[in-house]
Amino acid sequence: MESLVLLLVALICAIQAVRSAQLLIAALWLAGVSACIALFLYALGAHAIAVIELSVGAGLVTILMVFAITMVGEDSEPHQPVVPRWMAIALPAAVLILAAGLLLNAGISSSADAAPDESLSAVLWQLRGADVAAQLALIFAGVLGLLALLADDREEPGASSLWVEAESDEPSAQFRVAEKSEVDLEEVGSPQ
Amino acid sequence: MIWGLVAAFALLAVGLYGLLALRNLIKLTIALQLMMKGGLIAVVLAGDAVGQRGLGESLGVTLIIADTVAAVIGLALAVLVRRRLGSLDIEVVSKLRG
Amino acid sequence: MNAALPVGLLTLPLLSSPLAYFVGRFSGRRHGLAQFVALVVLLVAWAMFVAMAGQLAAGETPQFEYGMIAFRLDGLAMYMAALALGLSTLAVFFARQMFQARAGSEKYYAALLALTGAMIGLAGARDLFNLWVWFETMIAASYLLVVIFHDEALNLEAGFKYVVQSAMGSGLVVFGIALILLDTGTLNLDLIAQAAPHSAMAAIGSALCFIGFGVKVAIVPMHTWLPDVYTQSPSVSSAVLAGAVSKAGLVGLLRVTAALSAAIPWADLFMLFGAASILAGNLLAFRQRDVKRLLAYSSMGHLGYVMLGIGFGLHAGQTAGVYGGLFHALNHSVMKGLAFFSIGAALYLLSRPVGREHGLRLDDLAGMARRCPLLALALTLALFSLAGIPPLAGFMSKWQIFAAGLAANSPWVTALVVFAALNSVLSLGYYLPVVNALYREGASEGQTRLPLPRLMAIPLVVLSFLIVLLGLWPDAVRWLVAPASVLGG
Repeated sequence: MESLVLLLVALICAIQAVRSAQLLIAALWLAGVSACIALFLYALGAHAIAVIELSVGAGLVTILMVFAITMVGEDSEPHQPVVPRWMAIALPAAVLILAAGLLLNAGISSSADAAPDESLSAVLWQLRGADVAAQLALIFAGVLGLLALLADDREEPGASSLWVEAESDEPSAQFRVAEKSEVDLEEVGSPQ
Repeated sequence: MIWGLVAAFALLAVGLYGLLALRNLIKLTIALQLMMKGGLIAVVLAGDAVGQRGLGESLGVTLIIADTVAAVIGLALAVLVRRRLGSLDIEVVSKLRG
Repeated sequence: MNAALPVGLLTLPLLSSPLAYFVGRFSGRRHGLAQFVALVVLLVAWAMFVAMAGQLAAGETPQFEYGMIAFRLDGLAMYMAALALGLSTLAVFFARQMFQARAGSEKYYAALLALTGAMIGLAGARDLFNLWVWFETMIAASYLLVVIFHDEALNLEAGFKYVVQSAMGSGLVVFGIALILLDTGTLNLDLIAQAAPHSAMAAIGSALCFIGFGVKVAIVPMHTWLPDVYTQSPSVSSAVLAGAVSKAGLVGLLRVTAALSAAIPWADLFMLFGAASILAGNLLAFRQRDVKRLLAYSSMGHLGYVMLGIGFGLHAGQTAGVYGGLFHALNHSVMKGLAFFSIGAALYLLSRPVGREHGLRLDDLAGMARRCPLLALALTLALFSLAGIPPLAGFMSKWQIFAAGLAANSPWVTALVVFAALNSVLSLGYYLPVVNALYREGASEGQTRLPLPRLMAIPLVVLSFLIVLLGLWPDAVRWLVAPASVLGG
């Protein structure tokens, strides 16, 4: 019963997160969704993942969101949506109705009787070690992307950071850069 | 249990609506997060329903990590866009193409 | 069975990705060393690939297990590995000039290696969820390829579209996986295939996977990210995205198709969306004056031919159509890789500021033939092959797709073949002006002459050679494509 209430609250928070005009408020509603889901998972008996969702989903992501919002400042949502509003409502509604109808008809057996089998850590680290390995690669790739995004290009003044400036510069600056890289291309040489 | 899955799809629907209707880059990231939260409920419950709770939870952990990475990249992009353009509106960005 | 080779092929690029990064970061000469590391790693990976291709030809499938997750480098996986390794190797050759004096190239090489490893993992994984994790890793690594030069607002916009739509696609796949797990009780692709689910739940799960992977393939209604991303990314990245990453989405989709073959009418879906993509890609490409945008839309059309071929094969239950489709996908990687590399070289010769990738108009290419005949020839070959002019590679694979369709002896399928053939002729209408511009007298002649760097010329020569070779001798890649087109494998 309390699970149902939690899910309902999560949904309401989700709708509010999408509807709210202020970014900061929307981020807090999202944190509410995460917290409700974490509690739901806890009530389900999935304790470990509830803790992870609470700390990463409700905690870390919210902190990052708030941090990003304070960096960029509030920016109100424009009134004109990208796609017609009826489509933006109809498409997700169709997905929901289809899936809900399907699930309610399918009659999935409740897993109350299912014995709590292997613990999360045993499954995650031993049986699904390949997932963990792929995750490490995923995190590394994400960090690389973040580094590339946040990198300051100022360390090399030759390559101006705005093309507008580069164009108004005398063209020779561009060519010097090109020639320079030509030269150390010759130095390093092709490895084969 | 069934209602949990229905709620998961409801979160997917809310997230999809957000992705289609919103233009603010940070709010698009929030909509993505909503969608992935639905995915999290769905995989954990699916594992639970087939009697492999450990499996479902394991998938859930991986999912949380993956969508956090996507959220971080999305937020970083939003911050950069704002710095360069002074707007978070995806349409303003598009108009630059001219 | 010796598991060292498949383990090595999977882990080597992934493990050496941080190595390339740190080597590049902490060595004074940032440009050379990371590139060198990446190149050595890829060459070693190629050696392993060749050894494994020998095993595969001898009838052994290289495989290994890690926990409950099995990896099997069957025909389709080897096909994907060849595309991933091929495009990455050429991109490593090419990328150097792109950076000129800018910092950050070591990240690019590291991301290329991670991307390659993730694509091989995706292709080899026999576990649906593990496949998704690799898919997600591949997407995360490809973000960097798009946003590496982010000082321009348009590049950021493309990057954001890419991030949002990719994440949306992979989110839908997660829901699909949850439904499939719910229906079959397993994530193992072989066990799912044995269960051959055909319930409504499996159908919706498969449809969600189709849409989710379809975002990466850029099937028609899910294509909106593609023109911006291919136009704004550095040309090297566009080549890798069009040549390898979109094919990885296709491989993911084919894995689901093979495992859940009874769940939904896959053949009809492939043919319908394939035909729609061909038409949409062609119509959108017609109005383009920006050369990279034109190539982006033509990419959509060509993936449409691939889908159509696979649909023909699934429809008739024979491998000829799938063979044609995968052969065309391979050719598309070669042709589009060559086209984007040529555009990258042209941008370099025109001394465009680094990172300004869009807005290369037809007129800008005028006089290129005089200035750099090799470049003009390469781009011409690529475009003629894309248009399907015999005897180039693109013609051969389109021909095989059409032949497979005609062999099906069904009026609808025949109508689709005619439709696709007409579209193929129509596409000349937008490829020819580009070729015409190349050989016209024009503005670019008068500018300062930069020579085409040798490292930049290597990918152009290699890919041009492949286009001619595959046109004259299409069976040269039969060893690679034929095992891949047995989808059930």
